[in-house]
Amino acid sequence: MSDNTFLKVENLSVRFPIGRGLIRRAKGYVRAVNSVSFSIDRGETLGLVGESGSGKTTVGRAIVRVNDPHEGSILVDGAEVVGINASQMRPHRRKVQMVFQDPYSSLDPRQTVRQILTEPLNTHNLPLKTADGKDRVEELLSLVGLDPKFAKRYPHQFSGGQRQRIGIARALAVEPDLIICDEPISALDVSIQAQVVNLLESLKKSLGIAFLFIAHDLAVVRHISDRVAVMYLGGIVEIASSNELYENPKHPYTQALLSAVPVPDSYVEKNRKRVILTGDIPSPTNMPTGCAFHTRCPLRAKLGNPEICSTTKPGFQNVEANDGPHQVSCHFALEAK
Amino acid sequence: MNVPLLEVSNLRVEFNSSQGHVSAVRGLSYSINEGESMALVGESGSGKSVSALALIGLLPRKTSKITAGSVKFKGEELIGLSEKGLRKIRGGSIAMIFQDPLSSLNPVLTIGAQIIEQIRAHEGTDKKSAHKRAIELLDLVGIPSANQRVDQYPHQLSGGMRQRAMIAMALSSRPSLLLADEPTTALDVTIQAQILELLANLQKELKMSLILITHDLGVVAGFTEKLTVMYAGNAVEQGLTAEVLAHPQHPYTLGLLRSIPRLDRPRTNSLEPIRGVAPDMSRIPQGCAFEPRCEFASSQCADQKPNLDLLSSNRLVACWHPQGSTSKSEGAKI
Repeated sequence: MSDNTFLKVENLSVRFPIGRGLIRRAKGYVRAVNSVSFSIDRGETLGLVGESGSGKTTVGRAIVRVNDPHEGSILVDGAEVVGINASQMRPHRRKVQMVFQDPYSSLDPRQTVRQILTEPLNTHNLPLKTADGKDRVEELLSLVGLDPKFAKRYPHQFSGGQRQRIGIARALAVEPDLIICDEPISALDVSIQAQVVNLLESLKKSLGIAFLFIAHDLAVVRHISDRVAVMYLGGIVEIASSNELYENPKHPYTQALLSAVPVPDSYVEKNRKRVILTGDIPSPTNMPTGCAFHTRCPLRAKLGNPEICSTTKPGFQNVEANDGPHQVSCHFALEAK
Repeated sequence: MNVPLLEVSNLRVEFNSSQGHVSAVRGLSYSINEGESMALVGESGSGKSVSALALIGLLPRKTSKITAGSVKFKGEELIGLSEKGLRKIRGGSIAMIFQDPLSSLNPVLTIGAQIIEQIRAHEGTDKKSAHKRAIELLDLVGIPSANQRVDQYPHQLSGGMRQRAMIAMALSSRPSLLLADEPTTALDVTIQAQILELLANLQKELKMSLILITHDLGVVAGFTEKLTVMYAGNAVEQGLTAEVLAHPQHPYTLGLLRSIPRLDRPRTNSLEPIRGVAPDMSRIPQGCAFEPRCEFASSQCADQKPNLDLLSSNRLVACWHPQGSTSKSEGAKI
């Protein structure tokens, strides 16, 4: 690990109890995240992709301790945040901020934009004026490409794309080192998505902020990320640089996922070979033994259902890569084509 | 040429709201032949769903009105048809599936009961043979162990399975036209691939026509023959899907294609978004609705609304400055 590491997540597991009966005693657990490890360097964007229920959102929420980890360690700027209490957590919250999916429900409709943006400043005792005497709220609005005059308005007076910019301005207010973006553009129209993606990229360049970009849109994730991690059923199955992962996917799940993304070109679409997975994602309350993907894995079927897939959980192995380290969790990754 | 299966001409739909009249669909025209598939593509508020609901009389009566236009299905006019007449066609020869299968299915009835209800509403079959046919339909749409699943409730099925059940229900009346309104938007990408493959196979097998309403240009590409791009309640470009995607003529179509990152192309440094936002539908500009966001707009665009005109043999474009390579574009306007 380089000294440049800002966030280091190790063996993170999050589980939710399934309550039954009058006293809601846990009768079982939804294992949302199972020993996930990754790190993010300063100024780096890590994309986290996966289908619904894969645990990608829970990973993001665990880092800011909205969901409490069951096991594992999360180092924010070298300091452990698992197991500390809320007041001990507060200084770390300034370093890590979040932008949410739905720009309609993540802003208080009864607060003006000025109130929305002032709240984090007051919480962390930050000045409302910049060093050269300018209004901090107006500065934040210009930073995200909104007219500073909008500070007086309420959220309902803005379009979805503009609201998402306000959400980004709120995250920027405390000058964080890392912003966790949970599906920040999936509620927006296609023509607006590109505006917000470009804004995030320019912020990354000008302010050196690192991003954890959680999304299910694989094309957008490739575009915005330096490295990408693919999740399936609570675990990371493959992690590599964006170029490497998309050009040279090794895990059969990553391959299937990439082949399922339709592209707007009829010729390409009609001539491509699609790996169509059968069945649905298994329930995280009743995890498959061995490799979590073995119940749907086309590679396992091709190899004649080797026993190891259903008995032993595969560890991470490094595979030969052209562009940065490339790790994959599959017993037969080298046989994948 | 023979009569198209469905011919929509100059369709206009208005909603009454507290802010006054909102024109959701403003003179939409298209036609679709038997066995053909067409995509209706647009962003939220472009009128794509409203125009489909208008075809089969599913618009809210109190707040909306079809103010002009005609919808001819197999030569018969659907606008102004009585509720009784519409009921025969809706769910009969024109069926529809929706985006969210969970909220479109009745949670307190088994999926079998809901399919049987549909069969018996359109054909006078007895319960026993309707039950048998429900199982056949579930089997047809690829639901494993259909004879057990038929007695399950919607919450016991996964999202993909629920959408399959919806499709089974829509197919129960052997429709000649299927309207699919964002059928895969709520689904994960690997499940989306399964459902699209199923729909494509069924369309071929049953020789249905299909109108696919979506905002995803990728879904459209491999799946439909024709494409209508909508913006602010109007069709702005129409043509063969492969050609429109490869050589878009309308600046909006071009802008949409440029603004999305693509997995089939090398990574680019930055995306090219369309500037601005879609217009407020109660205050649409008098000229071209896309003019305020268009990089090619001239003064003519602000004053005069362009009609959807034939540009080349099978391409219609509503634009004063089509962006294709055809230099004779000005002359081609009628």
